[in-house]
Amino acid sequence: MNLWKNRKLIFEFTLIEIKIRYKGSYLGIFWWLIHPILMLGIYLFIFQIILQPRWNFQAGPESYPYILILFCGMIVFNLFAECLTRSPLLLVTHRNYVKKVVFPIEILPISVVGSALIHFFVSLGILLLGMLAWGIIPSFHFFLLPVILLPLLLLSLGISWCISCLGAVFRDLTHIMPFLVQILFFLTPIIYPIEAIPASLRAYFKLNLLTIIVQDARNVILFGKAFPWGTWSVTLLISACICVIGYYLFIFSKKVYADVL
Amino acid sequence: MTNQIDISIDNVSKRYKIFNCIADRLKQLFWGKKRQYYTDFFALKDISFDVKKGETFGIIGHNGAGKSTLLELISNIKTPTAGNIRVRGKIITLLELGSGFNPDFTGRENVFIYGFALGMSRDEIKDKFHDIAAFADIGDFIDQAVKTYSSGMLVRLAFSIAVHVDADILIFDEVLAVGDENFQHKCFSRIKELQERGLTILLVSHSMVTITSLCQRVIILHKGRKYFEGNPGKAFWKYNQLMSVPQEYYSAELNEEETNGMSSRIGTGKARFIKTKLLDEKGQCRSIFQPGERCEIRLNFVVDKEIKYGSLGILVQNHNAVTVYGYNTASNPKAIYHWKAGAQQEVSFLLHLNLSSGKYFISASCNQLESNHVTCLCALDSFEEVTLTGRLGEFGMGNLFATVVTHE
Repeated sequence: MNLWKNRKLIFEFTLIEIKIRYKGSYLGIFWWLIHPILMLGIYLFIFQIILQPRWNFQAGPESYPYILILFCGMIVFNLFAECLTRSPLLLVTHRNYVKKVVFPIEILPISVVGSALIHFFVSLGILLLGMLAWGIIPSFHFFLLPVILLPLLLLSLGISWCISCLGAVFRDLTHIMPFLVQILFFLTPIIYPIEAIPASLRAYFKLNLLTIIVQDARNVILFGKAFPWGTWSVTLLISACICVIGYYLFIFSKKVYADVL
Repeated sequence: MTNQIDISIDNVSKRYKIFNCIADRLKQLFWGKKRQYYTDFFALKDISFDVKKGETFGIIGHNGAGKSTLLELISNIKTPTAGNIRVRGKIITLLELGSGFNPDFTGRENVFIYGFALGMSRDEIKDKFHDIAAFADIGDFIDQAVKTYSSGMLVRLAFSIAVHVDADILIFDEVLAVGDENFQHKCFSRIKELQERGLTILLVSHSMVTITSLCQRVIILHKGRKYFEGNPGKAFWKYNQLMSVPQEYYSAELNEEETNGMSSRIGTGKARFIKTKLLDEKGQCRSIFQPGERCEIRLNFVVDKEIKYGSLGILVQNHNAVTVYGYNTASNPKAIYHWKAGAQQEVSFLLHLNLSSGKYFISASCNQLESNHVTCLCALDSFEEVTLTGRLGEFGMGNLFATVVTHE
């Protein structure tokens, strides 16, 4: 496959994608760490000192601190959200690669997902530190994390291909995306547990693949539990389909990019 | 040069749909093929030509003639609306120098990024980095952010990267006109070197000098169509004509006759060269001269109607169609001719042949001066051949008559 042939290029462009973000800033690569730490700090202040909500619906022997549950859901969601917000302008900002050289532009969304993944791992490190601070040791289920990430990455990649392809033609997507991300954020059980949703609506929420992925990720990272393999396989299957559809949509539209950008 | 065809362009057209407003675009989407809300614009129409392996091929034309579109089609950046393009081998395209650079990264980092974009691997770039940096010759700036570069430095670095990529076909779009003379010289030598290595090179330029000194074959594009294909010498005339004749003229009034293969007459046909002679100082016909000798070029011509402001031009080119010397009386206000209709004119140009050994071709033109442009009434392309037989060991175009003095 073409993508495999370009694996080295994908690696290089993921590095570039990561570097570009912080290039020219004085703290440079440290923003990687500062960003999630600041976020965690803000949540800590609001949810631990001011609001003090409790994850009431959590069915389990121990209760986990709200901010860790929130943060855990947040970093998983952010991986997806980052791809979503970066994609519409991806081809526009890389116009030169489309119009001036012969370049396999289909790797650009992969590098976006790759750099989002790296950010995820950094945030995950912060989360693990937070867990340790609360005396929570991850169980062996933690090693199932790659399995959980697989559908998330496929989904992000597929959507990223779709959105960057459409974004080349419809610039409006750039303005729509932030709202979409915001709406998606509230429709995914991140700041509330899925049990808080009225039972009659819950099934609809599970149509959102992110709901399942966030739930599963919390299980293996934080709660140290297994996750339901049934829903996971369905999620994986749908994500894989979206990924393949996204890829071919991107490839088939390749002809027109140079004309519309 | 082998006969293998590297690039084959077969009846290629590129059409753009021009919509007046976004609403039309949406309506079109809705109606599909049933209605038409756009106007067609052909950036290229029915272009065909072949480029052989190892050949250097030039493309010239006015702004908007479709040159860049053609290169984009060949590089597979855009797809043609109709026709076929076949390309053998790896293409490196330089459409806009330095456009792939990221201003926040250093020169060194950009060499890698640009290299990746052109299809090199990290190891390959590492191997060549020294050569690239040396060729660009920007010193310690290589480790500074590219945004601090002057435009000249930027272009030098970009050019340097591109000419160090291993490729079979190189495509340059108007990039040789960059940098100072030193760098231009370097670019030219590098291109000559690549030519010797057997690379196929496609060159777009407005500069006829660049084209004639590098290319073996040229096409002229005009308004998206192929106007001319042939050797650079002829293309030179054709192009000058395109530039000088008002645009309504050429299709209808262009008058071209082939005479004995080598030379041809071009122009609006309102004047005619009848006789030309190449004479030596004693007034005898001769075509072989020693460097430094004088010669006389005698032109006889007839003008069909009265020309109030006339001028004559002469051009000496070498075998590569590089202009060695040219002179036009138009720029001298004291030498404006007034020709009566039907009268035969005789004018001579006296030339010092300070040229090195080799064959040179002489062309002449008879022009009418108008308020804002010069119209070519008739021209003779390469009507005389002068062969110069100089000393052994001399090369180049001009002759500076070197002598050697050894000092004790």
